[in-house]
Amino acid sequence: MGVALDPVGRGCRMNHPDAMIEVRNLNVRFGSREVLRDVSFSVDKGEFVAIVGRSGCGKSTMLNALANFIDRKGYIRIPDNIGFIFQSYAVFPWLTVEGNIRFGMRSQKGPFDSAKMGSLLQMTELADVAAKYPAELSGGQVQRVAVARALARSPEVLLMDEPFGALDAYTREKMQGWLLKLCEDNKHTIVFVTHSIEEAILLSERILVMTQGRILKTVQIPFTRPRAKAIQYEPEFVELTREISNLLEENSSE
Amino acid sequence: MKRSTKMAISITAFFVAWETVSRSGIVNPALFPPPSNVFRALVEMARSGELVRDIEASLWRAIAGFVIGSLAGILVGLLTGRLPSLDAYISPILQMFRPLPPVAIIPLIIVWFGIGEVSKVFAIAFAVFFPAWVNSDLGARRVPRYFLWSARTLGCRFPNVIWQVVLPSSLPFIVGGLRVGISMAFVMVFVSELSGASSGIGYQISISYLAYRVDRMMAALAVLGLLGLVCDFVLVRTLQWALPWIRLDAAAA
Repeated sequence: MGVALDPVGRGCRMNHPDAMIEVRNLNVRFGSREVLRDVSFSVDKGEFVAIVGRSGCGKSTMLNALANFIDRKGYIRIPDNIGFIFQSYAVFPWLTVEGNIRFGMRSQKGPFDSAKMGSLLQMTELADVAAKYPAELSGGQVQRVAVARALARSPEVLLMDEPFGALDAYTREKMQGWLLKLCEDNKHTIVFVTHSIEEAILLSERILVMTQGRILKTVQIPFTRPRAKAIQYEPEFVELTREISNLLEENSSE
Repeated sequence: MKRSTKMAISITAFFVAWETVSRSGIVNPALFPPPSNVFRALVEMARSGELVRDIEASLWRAIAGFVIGSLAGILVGLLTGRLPSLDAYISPILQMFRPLPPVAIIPLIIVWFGIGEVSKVFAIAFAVFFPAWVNSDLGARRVPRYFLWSARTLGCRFPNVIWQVVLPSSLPFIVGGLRVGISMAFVMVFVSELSGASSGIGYQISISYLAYRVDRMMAALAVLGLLGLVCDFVLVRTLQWALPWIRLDAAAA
């Protein structure tokens, strides 16, 4: 089976009826530096899209622009109700696990939904540490708190900025398995930034390969769901990893 | 050797040396009374009821001034730290007053508010305000942007973000300001009671000075120091109990 490198090259599938996120000619400047240049792409409802690229290529800036955290120019259509998970632990250290999740649920109307709290704790495997503070948890647990807090608001889109980047290799693998299961159980629309090509292939359905503030290629992932972590050892997976790696290498400015 | 044992040895050695020097005839015992005499003066003050009355009066003033000054300082600090336009209007004025030694404004406060309780509490609150403000302002400026961005995506907007994110995130800084503030409160209690007071530890020191009772002055000073120490201890323990995450976070860092 051949690798489906989308020749369109900009991730554009504009005016798609199922598009949950639509970005056209997105530009971001930090002072005189052009960080994103004419970026256009769309993400379908329920789709898991990964953005890969080297450090400084503008991947995180792209997410920050999508979430309206920074000034940007261009057209962005994205639901108001988004969840954002940062690489650095942005869970509130002054709240317990339950307090953090409750913070995520605070904007919802009506009485406190204890059943939802229970199901979020269950889903993120945090029920045993619900009363603990983030400082008492492992890195993987803290990131699961961040995910649970983001999901508490039932977001229409999840934006994840290298959420496992600060974790050790073992915890990172465990978290990838956990996220795979989460995506298979609940069809979330996710934009996931990572510098790991393997992680992007394993988790996503489509990869936007970025370099120097542009989307270089769109890569359709040929693996069907549900996926097992063992697919990483299949020749097709290895071949796809090598192709994307070469692509980044050839277009590297360094 | 345990730390507590070392402390006990050091304190005992200090008092023994003091007692020995005072009784040796090298110094005038009326000017430099031994600790045993100071202790006797303390017992005398306790038996006459003056000690409880003075502690009550000073403690009330210190706590009232501390609470008012801290609350105002924290509120203004959080707002100046997060709202640049408000900061531009308010901070230059506050910075103008900040270098003033709080003691220097006491005559002015007496002219404005008289010699009653209001002027004393105001003087203490004035002194406490600045460390509370500076630390809260600094804490509010240092709130990680990830906290603010997370709060935004979770639907938390101004003014709720100030109470629910900026305030708790700034607490490690605010606690530092409060501890400086409580020391300032006791300095100001002493100074404000030196004149125009009929009770309080500062008043006791003042009348003992006029009566040339150095033993009573030292006893009152020891009580003032001890009160400050106890208040700081109570504040720290209360904050540790109410905010366990600060200790946990510092330990995990």
